[in-house]
Amino acid sequence: MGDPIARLLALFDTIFMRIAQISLFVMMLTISADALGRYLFNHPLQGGYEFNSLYLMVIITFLGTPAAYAQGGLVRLDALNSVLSRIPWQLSERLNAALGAAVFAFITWHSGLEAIEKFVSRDTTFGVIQFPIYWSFVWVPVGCGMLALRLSYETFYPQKRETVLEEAEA
Amino acid sequence: MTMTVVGTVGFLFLLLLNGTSVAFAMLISGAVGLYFTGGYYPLVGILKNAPYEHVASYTLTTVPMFILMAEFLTAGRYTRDLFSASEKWLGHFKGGIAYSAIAGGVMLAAISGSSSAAAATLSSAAYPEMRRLGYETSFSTGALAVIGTLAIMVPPSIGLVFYGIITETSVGKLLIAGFVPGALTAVGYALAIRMLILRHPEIAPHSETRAPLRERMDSLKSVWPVLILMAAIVISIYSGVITPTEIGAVGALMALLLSVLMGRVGIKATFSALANATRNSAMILSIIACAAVFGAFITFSGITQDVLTAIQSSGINRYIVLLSVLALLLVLGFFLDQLAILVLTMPLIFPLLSGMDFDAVWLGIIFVKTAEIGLITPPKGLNVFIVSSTTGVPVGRIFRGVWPFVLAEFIILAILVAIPGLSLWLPEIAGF
Repeated sequence: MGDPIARLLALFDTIFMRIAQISLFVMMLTISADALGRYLFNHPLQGGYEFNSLYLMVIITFLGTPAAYAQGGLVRLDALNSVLSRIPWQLSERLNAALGAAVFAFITWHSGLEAIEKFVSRDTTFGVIQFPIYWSFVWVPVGCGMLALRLSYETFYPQKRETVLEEAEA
Repeated sequence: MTMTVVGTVGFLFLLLLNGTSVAFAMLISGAVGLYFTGGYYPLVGILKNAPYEHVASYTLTTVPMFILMAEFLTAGRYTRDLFSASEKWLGHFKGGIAYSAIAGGVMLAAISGSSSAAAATLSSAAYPEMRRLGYETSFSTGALAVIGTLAIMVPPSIGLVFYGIITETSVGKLLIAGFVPGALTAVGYALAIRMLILRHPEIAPHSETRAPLRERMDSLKSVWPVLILMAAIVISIYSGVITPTEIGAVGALMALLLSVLMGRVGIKATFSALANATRNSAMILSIIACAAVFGAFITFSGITQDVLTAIQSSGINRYIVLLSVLALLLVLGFFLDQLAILVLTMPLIFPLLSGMDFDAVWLGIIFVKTAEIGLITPPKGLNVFIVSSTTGVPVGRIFRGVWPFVLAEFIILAILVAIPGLSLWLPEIAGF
C-alpha cells in the first residue's frame, strides 16, 4: 500500500526539483545578462527584476522545498532524537507530520483560491511595463499541496529519524 | 496578549524539541499564535500572502547565487587547489599545515559563504598531510573544524546576507563590515595555533622540506583564475558599484565558465553542483517563507514594543540587555543551526535592540559571530561532525581539540563587542 504512493510522491518531488534547478540556472543567466548589459552596453534586461523575484524565487522556494524536506535537508533540532525514537508507534514523528499537513493543506486551499482570483483578473504589476504576475501565484499552492500530501502520507507511514552524523555525511 | 505570546513561543520550542524542522515549527506555531491573537481572517490573510511576499524578493536572490557560485567552484576542485597552493607556500613552517589551512580557509571563505562546505574541503585536503607529518589528532582536526567557520564571517557570507534580509539591513554594508572581523578572526586563529605550539611543540612538527620556488609558483597555475575571481568579488563588494545580487550571479557564471573552460567539470558534476545549490537554497528560502508567518505573529502581538517599554521604564542598562541576548544566542548555538538561530530570534530581538539605538550593522556582525561559535561547540557543533565524517576521527576527540579555539573565539567576540569601530570603520570610509 505504502510503496506506490511513496514512489509517486518521489516522482513529483523529482519533477519539481528539476524545475527548481532549471529556474536557478536561468536566474544566474538573467541576472548576469541584466548586470553585464547595464554596465557594459547601457542596456539592461527588461523585466529581469520582476521575472527573477516574482517567478524564479517563488518557484525555487515552493517547488524545491518538498524534495529538500523528503531528502532530510531541512534544518531541525536533533538533540533529543535518541529519546524520541523510543516513543511507541513513532507518535512523535506522526504528530509533527500531522500538524505540518494540516497547516500546509490550509495554505494550499487559501493560496489556491488567491491564485484563481489573480488568474481571473489577469493581475499585472503597476508601472510603465505591466508585467503579468498571475502565474507567479500558482507555485505556492502547488508546492504547499505537495508538502501537505507528503506530510499526510508520513502521518500514516512515518519516516525514521536521522542522526546529526548522518545529516553531516549526507 | 502576553500569555498568548508566551504560550506560542513555548509551543514553538516544544515543536523544535519534538524534531519538527525549524521552518515548519515557525509556520505551525506562528499560525496558532495568529489565530489566538487576531482570529480566523487575519490568519488566512497572512498565511496565503506572507510566505509568498517574503521570498518574492530580488535582494533575496543573493543567497542562491552565492551558494551556486560556491558549488561550481567546489565541483571544479578549485577549493582543494587553494589549500594545496597555501601549503606549498607556508607548509615548511612549524605548524605550517595548520597556517596553510587558515590561509586556504580565508580564500575559501572569500569565494564561498558556506562554513560546512569549507570544513569538508579543508579537512579532506589537509588532514591526510597533517596525519602523515605526525600532527596531534585532536589539535589538527579541532583546528580544521574551527578554520571552516571563517566562511560565515568573511564576505560573501551567507550568514550576513541572511541577517541583512530578515532585518532589512543593507546587505552591501554588512558584507563590507565583515572584512575586518573576518581578518581579526583569522589572525586570532593563527595566534591560538602559535600559542598552542609554543606550549606543546610536539603537537605540530616541521614539514620535511621546503617546496622549491618553481614548485610554489607552479601551485599558483591552477588557482590564479580563482584568485582573480576572488579579488573581483572583494573589490566589487567594497566599491559598491554593483549590487551583491549581481556579484553573486556574475560570480556563479564566471565560476561555471572557469570550471568548464579549464576542463574541470563535466555535465554530471555541473548538474550535481546545480542540484546541491538548489536543495540548499530551498532549505534557506523555506525558513524565510515560514518565518514570515511567525514574524507576522510577533508584530501582530505587539510584544516587542511592550518588552522595549518595560526595559526602558525599568532602567536596565542597554549593554546588560545586549549581553543577555548574546548569552541566549550562545546557548541556542549549542543546539541549533546558525541560520535557524537568527531567524528564530531576530523577529523579537532585532527591533528590541535597534530600539535601544544599537547600530544594525554592528549587531549583525556580533550576532553572526556569536552564532558562528555554535558551529564548533558540543553537542551540535556541525563543523565538528563534518570533520569527523571526513576524517574518521571520533567526534569527542575533535571536541577536545576545539576548546582552545573556542577561548580564542570568545576573546575575538569580546573585542568586536567592545570596539564597534572595528566593524563600522570600513563601511564608513567606503561611503555607505
